[in-house]
Amino acid sequence: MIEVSNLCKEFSLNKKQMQEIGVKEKSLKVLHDVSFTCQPGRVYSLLGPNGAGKTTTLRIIATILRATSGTVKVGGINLNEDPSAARAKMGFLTGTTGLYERLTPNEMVKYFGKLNGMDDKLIEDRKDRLYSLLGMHDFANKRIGKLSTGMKQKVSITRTMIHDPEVVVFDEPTSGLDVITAKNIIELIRDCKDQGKTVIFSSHIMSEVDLLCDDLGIIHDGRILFNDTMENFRKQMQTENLTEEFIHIVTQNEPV
Amino acid sequence: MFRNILTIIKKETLDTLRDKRTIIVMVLVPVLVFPVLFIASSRLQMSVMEREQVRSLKIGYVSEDTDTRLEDFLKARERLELVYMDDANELESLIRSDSLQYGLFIPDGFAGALDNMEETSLRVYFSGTRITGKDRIDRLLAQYENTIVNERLQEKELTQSFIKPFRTESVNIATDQEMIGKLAGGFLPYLFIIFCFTGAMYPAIDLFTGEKERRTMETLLTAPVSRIEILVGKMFVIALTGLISAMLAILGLFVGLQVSAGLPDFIMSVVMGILTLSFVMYLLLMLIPLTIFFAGLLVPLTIYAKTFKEAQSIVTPLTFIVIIPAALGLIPGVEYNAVTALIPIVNITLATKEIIAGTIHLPHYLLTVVSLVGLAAISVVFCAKWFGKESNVLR
Repeated sequence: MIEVSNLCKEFSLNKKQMQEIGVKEKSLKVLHDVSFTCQPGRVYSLLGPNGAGKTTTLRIIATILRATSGTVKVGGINLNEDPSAARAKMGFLTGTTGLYERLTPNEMVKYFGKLNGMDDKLIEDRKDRLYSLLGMHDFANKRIGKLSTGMKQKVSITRTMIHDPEVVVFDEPTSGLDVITAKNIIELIRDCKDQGKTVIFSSHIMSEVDLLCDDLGIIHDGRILFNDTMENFRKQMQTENLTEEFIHIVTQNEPV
Repeated sequence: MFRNILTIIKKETLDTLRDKRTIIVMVLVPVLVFPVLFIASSRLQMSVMEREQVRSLKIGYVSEDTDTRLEDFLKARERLELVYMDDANELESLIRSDSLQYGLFIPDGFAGALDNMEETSLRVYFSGTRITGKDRIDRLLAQYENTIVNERLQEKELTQSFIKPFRTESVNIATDQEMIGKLAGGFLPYLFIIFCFTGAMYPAIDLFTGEKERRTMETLLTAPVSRIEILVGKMFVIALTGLISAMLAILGLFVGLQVSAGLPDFIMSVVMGILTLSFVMYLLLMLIPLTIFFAGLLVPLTIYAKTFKEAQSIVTPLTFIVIIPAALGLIPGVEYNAVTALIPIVNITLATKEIIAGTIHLPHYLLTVVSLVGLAAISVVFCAKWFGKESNVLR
């Protein structure tokens, strides 16, 4: 489970950044009291336009960024108290996840298995299962730099799932990927849900959200505008389709 | 904690060893630069010298004197050709165009003055740009001068001691090792410092800025390891590559000295005698904290930089900051004392000179080691704080 309560994030700005953004304040608040909960066995989607605060929220959950205030609990562990233990329960994947191009998939996956405290045998067993599932045996010993985008994404998936995390965070996982590679990710999210894992993913594509999510959070300008089940979202729709409804909610809440 | 650090060290070492750019800077350049440089320069120098020595001399000869004794003396020498000319002004242009090696102008009354034991002079034209300078003509004229002096001594029935009343016997109390240590010993740490720094530079950029640029840093930060473990693992590999690069440069230097001809035997025996276990231990005790300090200098900058190019432009000028104190220790007169023992980098150059000379003062050496360890520790703490700031890491 992921429990996010009153999450705030403020970035301090230098003079150059102040000029670029066009603000006079020395800090920029990008998240305002964001709260939501992601349940095990369900997929929570954080939907919002570009710059809404999706990535910042997910980066705080993944412990890459620290919250200015508020709390996040992952699997019952407060991130402020034991971030390492929380990370051990988590897998993090983005559409632009970087890989070590000079390593082979085997070396990369083993590295992250080791960092997650797994022994060699467990790594081999998990790796073998994931390789079979994703059809990776043929290129497991080739340098990652020589692999296709689809193959690289499979390596990213294996790296994310090697320690069998109970919580999986996907930050715009299909962004920039071709249709076939994106389909792999969609299947992965479904598999995670079927296995009872807690899944959160961010997106700005309504059709993707419609396809996958059980619970929905719409975020805009660092504020949660909607936080409920997908079912309830559909029930209270004031427009004809999901995309229209999303645009309607966002435009109604444009900052002054 | 150590398990994670070891995992990071193993991975970063493997990744670094597969980076062609690092291998070139860390291994190939340090290993090959000195042997190639020494062999090429000694071969070139020797071949030029040999050619000059066996080359038949062409001397432009302009004489206003009718006496031919000097002319006869020169004509009797081997590999020497006199080119008779009327005008001394022609000599310059012919020497400049390499048609002649030297020019001699004998003034009127030259031989007569010699016979009367009066002071006289002749003029030698040469080009200072030639490798042999005016060595060969000087030797020829000195031989002629000796012949005249000997004739005069015989005539007066005097011995050589009449004009050379005593000889000076020089007793150098410094051993060969001391001489090489004090005069050239600073060169060794100078090389070490440069190669250590440049060897660590690319891995530092690759391991921090490279991770940011390739977007693998985010992935790594979501693994259940602390930032201090990541930092220590990476810094260890950076320091290690710097150390290996420097060691390979020193090895290359020794190999280069052995394969290049022309060094006197006593220098070679002293140089080879330097490589004792105690010397290596003395050196490593200073160099290990130094490499950690270098890593500590490089890491904050490479964490801050967004791209490989930006990192290169920030880090490259730092090389001069490192080289200048290293070169200061090479200046004659800068002595190793309680003050200089505390100045980073300068102290290493000075201490190594003393170690090679065998005159190291232990309390000063300990001051140097302690100050370097302190500096390394401060740099690691600073790096940890810097790496902990998300505005630096995710800039």
